[in-house]
Amino acid sequence: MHDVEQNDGDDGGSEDIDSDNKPGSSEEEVSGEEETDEEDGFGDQGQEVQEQAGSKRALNDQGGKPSKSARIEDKDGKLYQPPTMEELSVLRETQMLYHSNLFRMQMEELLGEVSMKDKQRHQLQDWLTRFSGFLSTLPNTKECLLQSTHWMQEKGVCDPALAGIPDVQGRFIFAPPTMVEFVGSFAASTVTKLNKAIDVMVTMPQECVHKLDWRDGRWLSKRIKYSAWIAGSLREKPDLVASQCWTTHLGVSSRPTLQVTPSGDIGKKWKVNIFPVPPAEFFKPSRFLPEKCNLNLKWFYGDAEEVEMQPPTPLYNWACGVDVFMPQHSRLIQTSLSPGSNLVQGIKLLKIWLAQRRLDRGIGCFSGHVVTLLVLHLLHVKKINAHMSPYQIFRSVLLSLTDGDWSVSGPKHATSIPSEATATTNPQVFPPLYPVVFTDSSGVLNLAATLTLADYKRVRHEAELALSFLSSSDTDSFESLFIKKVEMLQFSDQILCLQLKQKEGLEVLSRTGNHREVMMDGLGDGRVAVWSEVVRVVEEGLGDRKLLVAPLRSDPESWPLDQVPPKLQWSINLGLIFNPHAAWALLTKGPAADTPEVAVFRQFWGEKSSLRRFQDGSFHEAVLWGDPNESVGKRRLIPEEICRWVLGQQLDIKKKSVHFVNRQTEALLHHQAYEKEFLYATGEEATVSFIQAYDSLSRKLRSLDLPLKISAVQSSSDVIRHSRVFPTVPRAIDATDCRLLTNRVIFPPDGGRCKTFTYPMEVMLLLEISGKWPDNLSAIQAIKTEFHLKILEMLRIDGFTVELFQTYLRILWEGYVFHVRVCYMREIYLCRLVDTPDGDCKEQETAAATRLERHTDILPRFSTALASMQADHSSFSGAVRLCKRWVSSQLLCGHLPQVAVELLVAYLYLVPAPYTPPHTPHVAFLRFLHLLAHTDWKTTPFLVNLNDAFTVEDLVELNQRFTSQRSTLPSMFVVTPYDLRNIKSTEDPADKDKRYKLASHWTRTAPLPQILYRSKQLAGAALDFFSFNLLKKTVDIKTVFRPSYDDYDVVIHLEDYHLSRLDEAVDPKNTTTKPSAKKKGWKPQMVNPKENQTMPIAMFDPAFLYVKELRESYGHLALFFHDEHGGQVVGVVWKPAALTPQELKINTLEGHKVVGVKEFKQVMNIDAILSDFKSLGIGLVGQIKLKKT
Amino acid sequence: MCTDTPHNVHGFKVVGLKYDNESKGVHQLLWKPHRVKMYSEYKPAECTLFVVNVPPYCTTEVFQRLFSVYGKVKWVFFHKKPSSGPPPTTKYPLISPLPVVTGFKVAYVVFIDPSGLKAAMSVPAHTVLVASSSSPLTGINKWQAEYNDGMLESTVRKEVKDLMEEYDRKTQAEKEAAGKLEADEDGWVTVTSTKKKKPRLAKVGELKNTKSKKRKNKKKQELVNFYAFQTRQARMDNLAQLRKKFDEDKKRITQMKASRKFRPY
Repeated sequence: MHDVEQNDGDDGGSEDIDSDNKPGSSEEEVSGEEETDEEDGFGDQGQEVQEQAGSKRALNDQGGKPSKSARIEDKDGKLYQPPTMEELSVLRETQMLYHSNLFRMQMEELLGEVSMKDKQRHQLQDWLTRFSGFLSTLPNTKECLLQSTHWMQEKGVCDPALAGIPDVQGRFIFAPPTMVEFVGSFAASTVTKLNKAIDVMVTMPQECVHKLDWRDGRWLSKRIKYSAWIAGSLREKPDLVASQCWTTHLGVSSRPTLQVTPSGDIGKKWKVNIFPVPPAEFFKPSRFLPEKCNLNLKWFYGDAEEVEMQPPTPLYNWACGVDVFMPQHSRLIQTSLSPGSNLVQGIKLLKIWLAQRRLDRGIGCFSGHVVTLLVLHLLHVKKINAHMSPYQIFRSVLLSLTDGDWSVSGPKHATSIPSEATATTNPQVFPPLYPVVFTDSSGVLNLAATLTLADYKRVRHEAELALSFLSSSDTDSFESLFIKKVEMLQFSDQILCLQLKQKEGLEVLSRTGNHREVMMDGLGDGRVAVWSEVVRVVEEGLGDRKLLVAPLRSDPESWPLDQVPPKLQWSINLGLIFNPHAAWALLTKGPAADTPEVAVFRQFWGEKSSLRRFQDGSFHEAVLWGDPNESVGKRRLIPEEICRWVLGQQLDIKKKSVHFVNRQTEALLHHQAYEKEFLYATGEEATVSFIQAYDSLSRKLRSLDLPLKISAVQSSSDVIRHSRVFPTVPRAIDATDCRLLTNRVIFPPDGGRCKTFTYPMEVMLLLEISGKWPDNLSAIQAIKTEFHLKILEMLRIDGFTVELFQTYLRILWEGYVFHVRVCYMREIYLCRLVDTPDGDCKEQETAAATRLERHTDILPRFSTALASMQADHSSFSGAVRLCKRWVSSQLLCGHLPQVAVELLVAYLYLVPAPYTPPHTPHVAFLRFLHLLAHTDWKTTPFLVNLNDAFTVEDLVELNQRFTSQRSTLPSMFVVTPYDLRNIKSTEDPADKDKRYKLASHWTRTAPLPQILYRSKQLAGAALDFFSFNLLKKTVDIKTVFRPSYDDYDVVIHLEDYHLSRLDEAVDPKNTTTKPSAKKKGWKPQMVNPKENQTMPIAMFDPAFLYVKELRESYGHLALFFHDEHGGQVVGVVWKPAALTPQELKINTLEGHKVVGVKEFKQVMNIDAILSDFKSLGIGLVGQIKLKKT
Repeated sequence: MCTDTPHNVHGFKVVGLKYDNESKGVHQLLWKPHRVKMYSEYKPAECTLFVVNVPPYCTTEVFQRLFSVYGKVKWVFFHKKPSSGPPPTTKYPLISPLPVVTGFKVAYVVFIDPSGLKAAMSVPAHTVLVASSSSPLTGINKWQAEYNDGMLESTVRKEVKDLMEEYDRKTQAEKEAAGKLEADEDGWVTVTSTKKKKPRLAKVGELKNTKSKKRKNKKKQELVNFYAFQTRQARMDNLAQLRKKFDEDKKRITQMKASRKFRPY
């Protein structure tokens, strides 16, 4: 498609030139092609301007008015200047070849940032000349045995080859290389700063190589020795090389590579990898065809008997072939790519994209070399052409990655370079020998030989995601593609850590049957085969539960010159991304009972598999993983159970070597006390059951015969949004320490206590429209009370417990407590009316009206939207509650508004880029922390597009307002579509102001910039903790939830006795009834709500009341921090301004004292305030500690 | 209490106040006679003491007791900010209760006769009053009592009735006043609207309809780019639009550059 567009453009361009020759022709042309039209029109600038002026004059002379045009404000007249050719072509190009103007500019900036500077390029070239000069002066050595290493020790270089490889035959001789040149990314100038290694190819002279060196590991050993010799010689040249180390080529342990750091400034930025290669056309290319056997079993194992058919050695052939074909590839790349061309820029983009996903290095990487050759291949098959913009090249390559399937038959990189091997190659031999295939120009080498199937699937997955970002309008695709780093911990919904030792790994391998051949092929490194096997088993076990099983990569190893290579790590971590619709299924359904696949299924699942009858009457093999009424929290552990089982069953992997990251953070959502009376787990069911009670209550209320019909029942509670951290469950009334009246509990006058906290749900009743409502606010309140009384009477007749409060009714319904109030929408409007001096009234924003609007209008709609979010993403509830729990545990509740947290989490679900939407609370929590820690609130607006309800204009307008009015807007700018009001027309600026007036009203007063900074620090610290410890088996995740009190000026400790929410604390006190001590088959004692008609004490939290009182009284002097979920501490921080003496002002004396003799000043009366902290919380406050200064 | 505390500040007497005998910290109460030009029957100037910096735990009862030392106290009013007017009142405490004054506040102590005020103003230096009596008035007890009082009794019914009756009376009276139009000596009747004009609350659906209708009509009437110059102008406008966007984007890019948005590492 792009080709076509491009050609059109070209044709247009050539036409322009023709038509330019005959001026005036443009006027007659009536054409739909805007591009050509435009060009023609402005082809002759001078003439154009004259004409325009002329025609205007003529029109004015005739008395005509210039028609109303979309003329835009033009400050310095620049916008209407006649354009230059250059400008026009840039504008047109942007329109045609790029995503958007901004995207293009961002891309250019980025490419400029990552490209190598010319100065450095010259420096490196100079360095190479010196380096190559030095190498050519090295003397030839005597011939020695290839296996002998004593000379290496003399030179202080340790053999980087793996231990345990049998001795290699042959002789080694060093002679200066015939050629030293740059290859790969530097030579093609596709190098980016994200990968600092530059490749240098060193061609060995003829005398160093033997004709039979392809055999039995000789070449691989020889290249190591050659590098080692160079390394040894370089040790004495500190002016050339600052330091040296060993690393591995693409993570393949049989190909250790010398990495040198050039001395001087250049070495701080770039490293050089040395690749010795055999002389050109020395080996026959067909020798390295995948099906060829170049290793002898007898050589490797010593004891093996001679077999007729030697097994193919695809990996070994690749490892040698890479060096053999290196000059050829390098030539091909350098002839096809010219520096600075769009192709090169496109390749750079791809490399950045891969690097941000950590796919460009280490074992199983998608190397830059493969990218470059893939682009050349696409160029060859005309999927892309050299005129495309880098963006288009990037997009086309992604498309080709998602379209093709390299695991079946990869693209063959055919070029015009003739090769004798091409004819003999049979492409069919590649797939069974390699999991992923991408052949090079000769048809011999599989460029993707080191890629496993899992790696390749990951690349495809990322390519698909990238394409979806590019086509979606509401993600900032540029940033998510190129700037944001993809962290593996935040990438995977759950993580499977498999601890394997070499012995266990070999056992796994031995189950595959051909482990001897595999070990030989990898020259003693069979890890990739083991991991592929593990991934295969896990994938088969999870079936359609998973979207992706991606191995987590560790950085490529590098080790000092004089040390032995590090031991091979056989352990592997797998990141799992789930398919949310199937992942938590209780049943794994197998084939029908009468099909032949049954045996395979039974063999795979072992004793877990059983024959089951399904509802449609069919019989299937199936595996059942849990009880039908298992809680969601438990269901999230089913994949773990499956993985443990199949790994044990199929690969005999012990339970203790499997570790899962899934339940650690979610444990914070457990509530021990509720567990006793409800199937609580992580609380999703409790929320749902609360909402069901709400539904039945609203049915009951609607059925009441009131003077006005109820038109709607809605709720603004966080329970309905599924975001109440600990939704209360129906519990038996414990009236000890309280006074029990007939059907309610109150406090005895001499002081009692309430041990349990009951949270009521706010419910609002909207009545049908009536003209009879009064116009007076207190009269409206009276009418509302009358309605409340009416409902109260009716419900009491039906035998329900109802209490009347000043603004609401408290109803006990199915064991839950509800606060029901009647709402009257016109009240908002009445609150907005302000009397003017001339006796009229006018509409104006008032604080009362805004508050009322927020609670009765915006909040219920917003709550419904979030509830629908939960319907779309089943993990949303857990995620949002976990995040809120953390915010509160760090004493930030109240400072970071709850709604803001909910919105940020919703944003993570709506705009998950660069990831898939989170499918577990755990991963959403990590991403939330990342968001807090890495967001620049000053420059980032958060437009949370709930239900896609923003119009395009809204998005533009909000972004524009954000940039132009940043200083007056809240420090955290979060907008939902529900914050925008409906207006008459979008043209009137006053109306427009009205629409966007309430933007980000949730964060208007809080958080303060200081709080944002603090949360950034806290989240950053938590993330650091996770990245170091999350994969460890024994780690106390709660560390992240335990606040530090060091930063508070005053710490107020609260006594346990009156705290009603201690059960919600991070470390609950009463550990006597640990849920883990539960017996099997233990069930919670559900309370029958029908029996209980006693209203419990609701919404009574002394700690909350205390903090509220403190904030009201001393908010002008200090900030107060408290964890509402069972926190036993209140932290106090004095405001810096309060600590300095101030001018005496009688009206602002609040809490200050007057000092001074002649000149009076006021200072904060700290002693008195500290005493007040105690006096205001009599019965609750324990110790008060001052920070030692 | 520190000895360097002044006793007289801008005409205010400075007096210490602590919560109970055990508290170490002492707040300063500053008081002086209430002097304003406006006369109020609630706050007669000769008998009223104006007190500032009143700590949050002080209640009417506490102040009644503390100031009865100087003379019989008639009323105690608390305000958040100084105010010469009468204290807010409500006839219907259950339906529209008075807002509670929280935090630090100012107080007006009204004595029965002026001698109380004089006695208060001649308070010796470094006096420290003690707020609490036997029963604590803060903390758990206060919150529990507030909780128990939250539930309304059936008296609210009567209040609702009274309030609505009063409201009905008022509206009735207004209507009658509107209807009672008297002719002047020439026999003319002046008709005025008695109702306050209130801006109409527009309905959303209604709005949209009229809007789109108007727009449709307009569109129908308009001829797009009838003259050649119009075409040219439209083209120029288009270009200007593009340039404007280009400039805006450029601005954004420099902003992003400043916040290091192009460093992928």
